[in-house]
Amino acid sequence: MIYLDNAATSFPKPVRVINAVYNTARCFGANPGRGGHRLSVRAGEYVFDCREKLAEHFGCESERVAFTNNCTAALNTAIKGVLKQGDHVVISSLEHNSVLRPVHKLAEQGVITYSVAKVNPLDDNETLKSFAFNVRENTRAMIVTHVSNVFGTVLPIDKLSAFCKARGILFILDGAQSAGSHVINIEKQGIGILCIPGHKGLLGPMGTGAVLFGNSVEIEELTQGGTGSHSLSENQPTVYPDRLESGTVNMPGIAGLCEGIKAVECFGGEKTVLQKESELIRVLKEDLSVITSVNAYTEMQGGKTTNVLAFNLADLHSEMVSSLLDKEGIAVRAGYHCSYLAHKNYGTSEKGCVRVSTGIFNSKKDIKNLVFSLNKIAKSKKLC
Amino acid sequence: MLYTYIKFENQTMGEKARRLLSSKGINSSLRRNPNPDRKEGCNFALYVHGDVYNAFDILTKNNIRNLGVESFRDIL
Repeated sequence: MIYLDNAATSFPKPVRVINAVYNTARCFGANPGRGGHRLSVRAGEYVFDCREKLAEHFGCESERVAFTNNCTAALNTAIKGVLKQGDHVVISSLEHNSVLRPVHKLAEQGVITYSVAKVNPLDDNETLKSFAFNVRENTRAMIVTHVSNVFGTVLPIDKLSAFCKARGILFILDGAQSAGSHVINIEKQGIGILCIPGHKGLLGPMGTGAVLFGNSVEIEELTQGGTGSHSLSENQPTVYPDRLESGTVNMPGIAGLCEGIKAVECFGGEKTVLQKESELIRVLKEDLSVITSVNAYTEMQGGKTTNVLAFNLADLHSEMVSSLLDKEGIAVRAGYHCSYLAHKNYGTSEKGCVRVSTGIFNSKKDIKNLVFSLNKIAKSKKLC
Repeated sequence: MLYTYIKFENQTMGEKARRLLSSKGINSSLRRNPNPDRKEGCNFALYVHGDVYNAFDILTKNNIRNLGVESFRDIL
């Protein structure tokens, strides 16, 4: 099977990640941060290793890294832990449902109001203007995806965060598609809260994610419970990360995630990873350009480097194309990619689109095989 | 025996402190607090191999949140 669905989750995982998960479960799988016995303390050290690694990697204090089950949980923590009655937020027109749905839910409950700023992939200044136009007096936060999970559009986050900083607006970044392939630094880039998955670009196991935040940000917890601290109080501790980490964390997953980050570093870091992955997309764009029945949404990338390419094949529904590619041994993602806004705003609501997302383990041969199979499908359907 | 240690609300802060001190050549070990305060409940104790007050000063200067220095006499 040729795996080109890395935007959903990276696969395969590096051997060091698999070994870390296995060894953790086998050798020191005690509950971290709870018991006084050495296995528990050792487990806690492993969790801290990953916390420290993430903090170094993304530019924040280690106690301001709270583990979650995935990026969606991180985004829910950020959104519901920060927004208060009467707040207004601006989100982009490319947001995943993991942003849209919690925001919409709060709006339905009458807690907040929100606006959607249209992203112009070809003009960052136009995008900025759209965000500025939607800001109100009570705008508390801007919630923005770094890279669109559908089209690979890269948003001008430095400009947006600078805009927010000047106006005292909290900048929340969804790093679902960028963590591990784009350099992100909370402190240097003025990011208030960064939400990341552990299992995509950071190459960790599924069931891992984190919310990372700057020193001036306070996040209220969504769940209360055991933290291994302040145990005689009926109140949730206010100390981080305990405040946001009730219950046992995914220790084997976190150990795997730590190794995943190290693997990204071993591959040369984010810039090298993105260079490799985007080179494959460049080759794909070139090769697809000669298949007349393919409509690739390359303009959505505005000339920026990305590891994602979306396309449709003539009038075939994207799910049909994906299914036919699956029979050819190629895994891609079709449909609507949990991104109602992106498809609604960019004219692909009717049949969705096929998304190819490359990973560090893909090669040009994989791309050539994909193009060969697409040509075969186009011919069999008499599309060319 | 009298033990003197620095208290932390959780393992995260204790471990952060331990690693900071280690980077400055001060060895220490982190354990559960053997004598937790009734009001505070469970917490962690950092046993410093050396001058605990010097270590405490370093942590304070580096804004490492802690619950102060405490002594405990082990009657066993």
